[in-house]
Amino acid sequence: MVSRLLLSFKNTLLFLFQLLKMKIKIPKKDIVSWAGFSATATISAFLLPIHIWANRNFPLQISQRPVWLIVFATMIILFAAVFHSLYRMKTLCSDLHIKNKEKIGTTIEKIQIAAFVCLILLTIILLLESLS
Amino acid sequence: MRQHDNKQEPLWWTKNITYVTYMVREGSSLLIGVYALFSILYILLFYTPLETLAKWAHPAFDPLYKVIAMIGLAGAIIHSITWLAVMPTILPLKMPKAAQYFITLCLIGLWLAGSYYLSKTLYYSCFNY
Repeated sequence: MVSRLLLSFKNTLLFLFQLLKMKIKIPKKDIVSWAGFSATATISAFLLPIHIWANRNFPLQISQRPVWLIVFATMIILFAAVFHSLYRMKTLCSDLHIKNKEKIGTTIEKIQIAAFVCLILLTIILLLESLS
Repeated sequence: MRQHDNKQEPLWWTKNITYVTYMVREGSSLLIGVYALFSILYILLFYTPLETLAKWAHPAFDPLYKVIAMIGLAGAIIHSITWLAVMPTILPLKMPKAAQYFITLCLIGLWLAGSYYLSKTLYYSCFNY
């Protein structure tokens, strides 16, 4: 087990060394498209579980008067969650070869837009409330 | 011109463990989506300027929110673990298998440590409510 871990560590170091020497060529287009898609996924993966666990009884349960930092964190996490989950739902319809996947895709896009509008409205309402 | 017939069975993903993991990850997004949309609706109803609507929403949605939060949490944990496991493999870089495992372990460690840190800082008040 220890020798395996040491080997992994050695291989990772070798890989990073190769990367620093730019032996591996990465297409810039790939980096941009991958970063755009994975940004929301990374936010969801790293922050969503602890966010849900902390707010398991009530969203924004910190107090009746929301604090601006909690408001911002909640809105960013919910934005990432909505964007990423609905995007994946569309790909899921495609992967499962559902007959009306185009119609479902359009409906999902409409829900996404409605959710984003609600999130913007909520951010304004909650920020005004926390400042008053 | 000859057209390529690309018809796959709807259960194509059951034939390989990698595909099953992929579909589990995709499926967990459904649970996350339900949670995210419901919490947006709940916050919107709770903080609405219309007081009658807010008074009705709170007791009616409270038990339902707790159930949906648990469903969302299950989806989020599955999504996090499968995403962090797949993260090193989808990078547009070629790296050895051992390095991929090592990076996955580091990412899961980082996720757990970060979650613990957030529970003690940003969400501290939530846990002591």
